[in-house]
Amino acid sequence: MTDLATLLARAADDLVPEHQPFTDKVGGVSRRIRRRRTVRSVQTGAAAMVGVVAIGSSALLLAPGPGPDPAGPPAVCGESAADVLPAAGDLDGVATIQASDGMSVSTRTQLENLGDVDATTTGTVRYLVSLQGTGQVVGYSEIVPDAQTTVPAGTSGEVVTTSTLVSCGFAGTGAGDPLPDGIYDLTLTGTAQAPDGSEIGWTSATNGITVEDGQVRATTGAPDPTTDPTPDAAFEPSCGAMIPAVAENPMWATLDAPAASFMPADPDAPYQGGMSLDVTVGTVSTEPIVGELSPEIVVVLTDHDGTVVTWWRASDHGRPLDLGAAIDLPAEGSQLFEGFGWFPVTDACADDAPIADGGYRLFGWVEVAADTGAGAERYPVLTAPLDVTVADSVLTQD
Amino acid sequence: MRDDDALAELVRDRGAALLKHATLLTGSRRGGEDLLQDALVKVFAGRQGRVRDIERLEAYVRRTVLTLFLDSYRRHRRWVKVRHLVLEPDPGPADDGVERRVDVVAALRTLPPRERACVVLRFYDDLTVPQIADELGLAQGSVKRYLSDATHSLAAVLEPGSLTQEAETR
Repeated sequence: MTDLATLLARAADDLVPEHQPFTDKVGGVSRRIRRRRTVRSVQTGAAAMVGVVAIGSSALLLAPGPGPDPAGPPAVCGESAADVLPAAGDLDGVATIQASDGMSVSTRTQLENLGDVDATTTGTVRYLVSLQGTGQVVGYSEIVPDAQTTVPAGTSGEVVTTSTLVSCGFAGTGAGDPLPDGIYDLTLTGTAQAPDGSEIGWTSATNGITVEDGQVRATTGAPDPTTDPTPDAAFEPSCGAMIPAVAENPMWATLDAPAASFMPADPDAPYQGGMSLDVTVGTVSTEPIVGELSPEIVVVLTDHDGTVVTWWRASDHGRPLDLGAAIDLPAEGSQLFEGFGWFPVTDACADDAPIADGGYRLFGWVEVAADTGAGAERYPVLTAPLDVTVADSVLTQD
Repeated sequence: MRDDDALAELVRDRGAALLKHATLLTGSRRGGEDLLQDALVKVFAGRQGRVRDIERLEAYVRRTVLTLFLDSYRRHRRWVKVRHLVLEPDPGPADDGVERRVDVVAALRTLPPRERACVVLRFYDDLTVPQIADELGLAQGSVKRYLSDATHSLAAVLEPGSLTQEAETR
């Protein structure tokens, strides 16, 4: 006879034999924490960042359109989610998408009550759809749950709701229309009541949603530059591997570093140091090309043999990913996007350590969505290499 | 204490215990690491600068590990990954110590998540039935039923009559 407690203890020791098995994960966890804080828009600075990053696309990013329909909630649309959501409190949670059908989303919210008093949910649950990075609310829905949920102090409880998301009216959609295709944050918020009648606001973040062809689906996981690249990304560099190739197409691109050198910077707080990069996109087509440049950019540092040393993906670090800059190329023409690329000059493949001195090459990956009249033709583009040198953690263009 | 320092201290001092807890819940080392990372991110991202006591932090993380594990979406993902184990259970010999330890983890994976959570909290974390009920937000009777069903299932898979169940209803 063996008791179950002994078996489990031995199994746990077999599976985790180390004394400190998780210390090498701290760097990755820290990066995800910083990103989560940014995504949840509970820190300041998002609006200022937009002003810096939206070179060439600021008007598109900031414009919520002609304004929401009177039926919409004007107090929410166009506002920053950080201004709309209640401050972080003792009632907090995480929501997951259970099912979706078109714009209809069923969510299950697990609320944790870290306070000292019981809380009972009341009234309306509001879904806020916001742009990643800026936090601007661009969609919403509201639903009154069929039943209240009481979350005793120190425990957790569930709120299950189904609601249909609608656009506030932006990016060519009207107020009340389905959301346009894109990647968004989705946050649920509501109120609960304490036994003394006081109200407690709660907020529950999801992993975000992706809208594609009018269908909402859950975005899963948070990216980690070293181990967990964005699942849906088309360009996936890997530390120590050859830089991925892209198919030939009528587009070309180059990188240029307008300033001589910059100091290293925090990869999660771009544009405070690091290297700013101009991107020129051109075409060899004898026909004009009109369309949109991806808001996504991946900057890759390789050695002279093309082996990836480290890389930085804009969407992993809070950069808005919903609308790109307009492309309007004459036949065989080109277009300059000043400051569109950025590189932190730290090694994400080595826990953001300084990059070793030496000669390297920088590449940038972007995507052009060309409007062909019959739809968008997507052209992934890898820039020509830019030879650079790192000396004392400072990067300079050769 | 800065958040980064608190995270480093928590992971250094309590990382092994937390990872064992998460690994038993998920039934795999990799799953446990993913679950613990998710929990750490959630706790530290949501409580910036608010929690400085390592013991309270550990309690928050343990509770978050549990709630994340019980989240049905993740349950579904893990179910997809392990369902072959349920469909084709390996009833091989269970008289060797090492094999038994491997078996008990595989057997745990066959349990529904709430039963699995009850088993880990009761037999690994040594919580009482009232404590488990409080932790999971369940009635004590439900916890007892989950534990009874789970231990019978485990005994049947591991080796009929091989498990002592003295602590089942404490």
